[in-house]
Amino acid sequence: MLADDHAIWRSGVRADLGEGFHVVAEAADAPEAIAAIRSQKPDLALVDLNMPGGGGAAVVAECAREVPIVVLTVSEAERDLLDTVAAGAVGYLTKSTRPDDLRRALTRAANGEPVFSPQLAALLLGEFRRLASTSDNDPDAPQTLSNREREVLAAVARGGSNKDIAEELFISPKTVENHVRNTLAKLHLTRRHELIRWAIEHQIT
Amino acid sequence: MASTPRTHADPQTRSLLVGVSVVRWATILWAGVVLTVDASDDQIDHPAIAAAILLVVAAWSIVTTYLTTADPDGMGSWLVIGVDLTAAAALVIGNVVVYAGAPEQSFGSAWPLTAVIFTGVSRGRTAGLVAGVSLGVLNVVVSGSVDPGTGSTWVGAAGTSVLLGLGGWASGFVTDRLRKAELEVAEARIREQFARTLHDGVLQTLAAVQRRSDDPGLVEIARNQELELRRYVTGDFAAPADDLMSSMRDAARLVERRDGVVCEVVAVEVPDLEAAAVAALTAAATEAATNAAKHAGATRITWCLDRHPEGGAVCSVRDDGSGFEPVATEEGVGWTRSIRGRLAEVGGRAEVSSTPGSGTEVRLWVP
Repeated sequence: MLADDHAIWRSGVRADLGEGFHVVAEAADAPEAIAAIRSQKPDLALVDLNMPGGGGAAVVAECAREVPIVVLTVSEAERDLLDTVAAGAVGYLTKSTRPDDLRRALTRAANGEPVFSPQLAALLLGEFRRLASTSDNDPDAPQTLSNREREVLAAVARGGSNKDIAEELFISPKTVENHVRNTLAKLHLTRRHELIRWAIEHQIT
Repeated sequence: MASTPRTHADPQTRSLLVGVSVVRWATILWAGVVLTVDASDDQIDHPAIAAAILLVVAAWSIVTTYLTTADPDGMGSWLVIGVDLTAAAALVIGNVVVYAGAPEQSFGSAWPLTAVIFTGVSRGRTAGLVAGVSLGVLNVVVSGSVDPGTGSTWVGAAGTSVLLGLGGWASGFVTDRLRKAELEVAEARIREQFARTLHDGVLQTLAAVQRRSDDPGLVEIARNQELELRRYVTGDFAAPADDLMSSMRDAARLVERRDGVVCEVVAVEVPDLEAAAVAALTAAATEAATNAAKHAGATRITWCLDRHPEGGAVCSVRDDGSGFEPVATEEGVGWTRSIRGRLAEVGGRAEVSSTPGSGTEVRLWVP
């Protein structure tokens, strides 16, 4: 399923996807995308971050449990992206991603693997560093990253492929992937914890 | 200080003029009341003249009220302002002439202020000031001629000048400010709209061109345009280049253009650095990227910036090129001079790690 408010972009991506993919539905805004996901049950949703009706964030919030969602973006408004990923998107791609990279990333995403760009890894690293510095006085803070996870994220941020990272750290590519997936799960956890903590602090219970 | 030529069709000026009209009618009403009271108290020598002046002024007020809504631009003409000020002058003179002695409250003292405010709104603070002071001086002259010698009248008359002058100046000043603020708001709105249009249309198209075109020249043009437009849209275009992130982004763009590779800039944290350190790090990273493109056949290079735990910044330059056997390879001129030399100047250092077949990673550090 392909959602973007620009027809030229949708047709472009469709062309780039080529034979290996079958586009079951297109949508021009968030409500359309949500409806299409519900009715067509696609294997994968590729959703623009900036669309009418709440954008990619709305689609992720609504459908992240039903389908792997990859967010597409032109800009790199970093907080927005991290929020979308925290809400359950399997990753994001910038619109300047080359066709072969796009196909490769989407194939992986359709198999439930996170789409992990160096940017996303860097964002995550920065985010966990921020959390670590603010949660010193919070005994209930959820687990922070393990050293290994931090190493893996740093290696991804520096542009290493899973294979390279596996060789560097003497682990299997599968383990690299697991670490990456864990960091995402931890991001979800910490976000939820932050929300609860914020609510308690502000006495919204 | 000179008043600028202006249109009266804009909503701010119109609403101010409508306000002046309302006040104007209130003062006429008030003048009518005062006149009636004074006449019944027998304080007026020439009630007929007073009534005639007031009627003329009321008639003229009908004209200006009509013009305010029907022809705001005509409202601002010197002709209208001239007649307006003449009517005000008539009231000022009438005020003195029709009364036998000094009245408690004269019928024609309020309306002239509206004429002065009108002048200020229409023609700016200088015109408002001049009109107000002129009417005030006229008041001094005529009341002086009627009742010379008594100091209190002079002071009162001078006070009127100050009041009228200030009224005219202030109304012009406020109007100018309002117009300026409105212009700024309009400009910001246009810019925002423009940015949205660019973002939704042109930027998307440029991104599409980059992905779909096989023509490297076209891709390059589209990429440069996209980056430039995005900078304009986000207002970054004025950002100084000694900021580490923008310096690295500019350099990455240069590398992409010159060496035909994809060069991504990723940042975990961006520390603040001295300008010299920024320049050195950028130059070293550029050199490392060029090496990778030239000698290792790299197609994709990632620059990853981060804060170093011991201070300063570290930049990793990683490529997907052929890599090399570090032990067996001697450092070339590019390495020694450009990378190590450039970093040493600011007290930094570089290390390289590579495995044949899985690219090269260069780590650059500056304090």
